[in-house]
Amino acid sequence: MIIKTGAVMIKAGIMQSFAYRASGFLLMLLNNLLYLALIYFLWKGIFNSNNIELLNGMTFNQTLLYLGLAVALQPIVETYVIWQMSADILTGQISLHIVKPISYQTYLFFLMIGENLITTLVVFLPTFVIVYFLTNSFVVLSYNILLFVISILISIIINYLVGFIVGTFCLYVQSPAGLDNMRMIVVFLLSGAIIPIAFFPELLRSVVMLLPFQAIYNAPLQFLLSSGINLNEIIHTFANQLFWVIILYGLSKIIWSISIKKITVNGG
Amino acid sequence: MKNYFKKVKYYIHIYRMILIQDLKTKMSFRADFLISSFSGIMLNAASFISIWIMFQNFSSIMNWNYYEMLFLYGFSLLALTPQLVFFDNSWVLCDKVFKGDFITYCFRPINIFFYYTFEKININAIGQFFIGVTLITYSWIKLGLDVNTIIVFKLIISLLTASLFMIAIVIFISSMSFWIINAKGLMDFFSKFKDYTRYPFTIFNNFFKFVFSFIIPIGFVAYYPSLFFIHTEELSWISFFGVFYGIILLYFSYKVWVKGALQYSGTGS
Repeated sequence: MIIKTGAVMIKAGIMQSFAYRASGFLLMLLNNLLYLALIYFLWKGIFNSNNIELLNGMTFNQTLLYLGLAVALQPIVETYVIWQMSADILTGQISLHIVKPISYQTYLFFLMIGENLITTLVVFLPTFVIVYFLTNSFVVLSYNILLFVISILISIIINYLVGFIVGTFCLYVQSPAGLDNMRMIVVFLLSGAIIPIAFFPELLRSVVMLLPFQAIYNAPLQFLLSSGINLNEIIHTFANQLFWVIILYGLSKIIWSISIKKITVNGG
Repeated sequence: MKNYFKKVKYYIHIYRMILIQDLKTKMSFRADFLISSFSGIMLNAASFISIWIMFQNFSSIMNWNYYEMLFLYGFSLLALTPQLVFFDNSWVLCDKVFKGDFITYCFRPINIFFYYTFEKININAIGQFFIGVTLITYSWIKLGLDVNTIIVFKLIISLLTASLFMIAIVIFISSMSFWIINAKGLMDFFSKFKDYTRYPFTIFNNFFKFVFSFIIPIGFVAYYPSLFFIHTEELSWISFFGVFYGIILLYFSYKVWVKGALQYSGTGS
């Protein structure tokens, strides 16, 4: 049942993303490539002008791989759930969604998966290939790819849950742009998508590791950085990610059920 | 000449009236105003923190030290502020053209560019102005640069000319919505470039240096004009050229915008 409804929702998401023209995808890809060029030159400048080989245990190739893949992963992991929720609340559509047999949260999740499926194909794959060659085929293509993929699937859920929790506040204030910007700033900075977490000062790093955001970008990227990762680390990373899925899922349910009582639909 | 002054006075009067209307609308969404302002401050705080974190690991980027990078960042924040505050409506031009709302502007008896562009003011971006001033002052003191009337005057002039570039880019790209149906993607694409302005351009190779100087002229937003004050050994004719280049680009993009607006025929709704 849930799989069948899920498939329908995913299809709806795919259709929705097709409304975005081919030129839109092309610009997204071009944007990624320009950003890749920026971080390539910036970090090359940093490594070369300071005459360093190793920075916090990371080589230039590792840094570039980490930051480049964080960019490449964005079309897969990023979510526009806040905008969707805000639009549903503003138009009153939400009153139709909350009486349906499928929960609003599940509905939005499948919609997002469908939307991101297309961007994954047309934006992620080309960016990944370019990062792969830019770092001199540095990624070891072995079983760690499998771990990486599983970890990303969990990242998607975590990032979605964070988005849903923030989106719930649209029931109180109609400010999707402000809320989504704040979410993005916090997620990108504290997940290592802008600067690798390994570069953070000791104290800040230990605080960041206690937060859910590192489980979004930092966790899957770790699997690709080191080829010789041991079983302990694998279990630890997955346990940490699953822990945050459970906590955030519970939290989103609680916040949603409290907030939905306050809903006012204009006209509808 | 007297006629000309009258016209300017008339436009200033109109601008004040439009502004009051816009501010009244904004006041009725107070929570949105607070959240937007706060997210703007957070964005700048995050950028500052990322520069700080980077410099915990090394002492310079291409011989640009921490305070010089802060100066560059502050300069770019200040040079981007006029575009953010006064030209906010340009970002939604594509939607208005697409949906047909733009036709309402075609019937006003005043300059169509003036009325459309200055209809909205984004006052929450003023927070960025204060952050920029603080960063420049802080790095100025730490770098031990001179303070006198001439240099302050020079700073203001170079900030003003630097601010023209982002304004010109945004006007030009937004005017594309008169010809292209989906200009929104293009707008999103160009909005990312403001983050590229805060790095010393010596990191780039010649190809990217050329692109970011003349084709997408973001180098003139902060890097080239900053060379008048810091790293003067990197100063070349390009920085002086920038002073005039901005005016030329602004005039050109204004002309393109007006040309597009005049041939706009609405959507028939």
